[in-house]
Amino acid sequence: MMDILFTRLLLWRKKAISMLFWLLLPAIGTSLFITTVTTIKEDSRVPIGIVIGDESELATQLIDSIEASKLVRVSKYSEEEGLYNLEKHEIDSIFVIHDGFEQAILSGKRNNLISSYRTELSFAYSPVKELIVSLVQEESGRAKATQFILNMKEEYNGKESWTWDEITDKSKEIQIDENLLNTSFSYSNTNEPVESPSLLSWDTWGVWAIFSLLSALFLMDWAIREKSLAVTTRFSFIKTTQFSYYLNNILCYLLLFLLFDLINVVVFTIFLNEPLSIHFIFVLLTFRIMLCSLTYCLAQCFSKTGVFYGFSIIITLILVVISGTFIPILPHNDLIDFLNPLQAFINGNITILWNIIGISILAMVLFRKETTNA
Amino acid sequence: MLDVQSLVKSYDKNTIFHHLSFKVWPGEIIGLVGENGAGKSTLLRILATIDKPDSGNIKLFDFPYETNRKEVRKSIGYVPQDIAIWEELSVRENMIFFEKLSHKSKSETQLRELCLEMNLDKWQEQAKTLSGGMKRKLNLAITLIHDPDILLLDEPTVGIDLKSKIEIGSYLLKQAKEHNKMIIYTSHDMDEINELCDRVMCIGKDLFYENILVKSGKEIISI
Ligand SMILES: Nc1ncnc2c1ncn2[C@@H]1O[C@H](COP(=O)(O)OP(=O)(O)O)[C@@H](O)[C@H]1O
Ligand SMILES: [Mg+2]
Repeated sequence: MMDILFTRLLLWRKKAISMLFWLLLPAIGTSLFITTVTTIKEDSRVPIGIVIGDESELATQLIDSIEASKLVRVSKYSEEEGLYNLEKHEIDSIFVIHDGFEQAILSGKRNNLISSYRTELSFAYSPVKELIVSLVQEESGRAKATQFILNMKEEYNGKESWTWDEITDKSKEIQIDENLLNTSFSYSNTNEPVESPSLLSWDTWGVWAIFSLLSALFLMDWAIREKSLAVTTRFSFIKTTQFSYYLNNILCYLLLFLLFDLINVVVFTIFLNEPLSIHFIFVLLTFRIMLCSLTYCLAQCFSKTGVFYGFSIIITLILVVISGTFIPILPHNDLIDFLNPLQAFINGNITILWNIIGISILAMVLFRKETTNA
Repeated sequence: MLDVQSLVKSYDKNTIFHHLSFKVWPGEIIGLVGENGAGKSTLLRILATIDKPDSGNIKLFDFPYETNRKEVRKSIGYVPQDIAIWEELSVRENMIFFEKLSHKSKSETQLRELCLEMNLDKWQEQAKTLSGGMKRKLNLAITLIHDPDILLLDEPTVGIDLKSKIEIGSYLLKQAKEHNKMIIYTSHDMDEINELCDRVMCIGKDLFYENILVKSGKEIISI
């Protein structure tokens, strides 16, 4: 292995620059993509103004949840300031939380909690209003439920004692689990649903998976170039079998890839705040082994690198479409997911099926090389 | 000793060897001549174990090819007709590359000496910028890294300048006479064949080469 690694290093050194480009592509490509998309998403939020007339806990919570929504970008104003900005169309609409908001909610009142201002150019008014109404309903519902439980407890003099906060937290937890209020809104002038889930952590690695596929394919071109060289006749006279020669070379590539994957993990963990776990290391490892074996086998089917490069780009584009990591174009389909070698990784699972397929084909390819060149 | 018996090889209906038998002893240089397509490369590939005859037996030092391929290969130095070197690596890197994969390990100094023996002095130069003669020398030097007992050279001197040709020739002569190696090589240069070879084998039905060789009084292996 060390000897073969040494010989491989000699060859790598000659094309270090292009190799470095392809090895760094997944990290750089993903980072650029994620930052660009995040900026665009930020820009496409609807700017609204909020006037805070109530300093209560519930009002603060409401504002927090409005701010947390991906639909709007919130600025806080006094009423005059807000109206001034609305007139200049700096903001789409204004929502005023009146004094006594908490009080009103707790006593079950629903009218005149919030009032709003808009102009004829407030295109996003209805979805924003819908969002805020649903948030208020959510909050008042929770407040009432909490109140109800507390009252009940007092009545029956239960042994366990819950505080207001505990009950509220619990109910929020249930809400998140059940995903009850995860509605999506539409702008009145477009049919495109505005996504409410954010860039989840798997999106980063999903995008990375696509870039990795492309880079692995382009880096495996040696398998084609070297197959047609006269030097291969010499491999019949070396100390190892051809099976082991080629297998070790693929392992050299695997090691190199894993080294750069490690760099990726560090970069993503630190700069993109991706969570890291032992399980994920296995997910990554199995994904990489699968990429290595499959790309090598694929390269073996070609005799011209140009054709292979073209094919690589097409394969990558197809997987972009069916994986839906960049853009969810296709509806979710179990068969496609099953056939997509990237799917296990994108879902955060250990790649098993495609590793069995990849490694079996690889063994066959190498065994055939051994016997035909023997 | 290399012992070839009753070798038969044909591609489809095109019979190339029909019960070919001959022997080669250590220290001998055998020339292989014949027009293009006669089957010289085919014979060398069979002797180098990378092609299989339809029938017949070959033994190297009493090891049959059939059953001892792995052992036999350690003693074979095969120089293919196409130059088999890494174009993007330097002479030095090419030598080190194949030394790492070779049955015998050699120091860098030894590798360098091997090159210098046939006047290949461009140690650091990239293979692709070498002259044709230098490339052929490197092609030969790589084959010699594992000290093979038998050298099978497919047109080792084709298309190169006279000086390199003579340097390679005298190197081969030294290998045979001083190191007792068996050498079988092909060439179209009849002067070179006459100069170096102990015996010559003419392959193919054309008697053109045979007639030249008869005139020069070379010993011909009848097939
Ligand atoms: N792999 C092959 N398949 C079919 N025919 C072949 C193959 N290799 C060589 N031949 C044929 O065998 C004959 C001998 O070829 P070769 O040994 O290369 O000749 P030489 O080296 O003497 O020029 C030629 O007619 C060639 O076309
Ligand atoms: Mg030939």
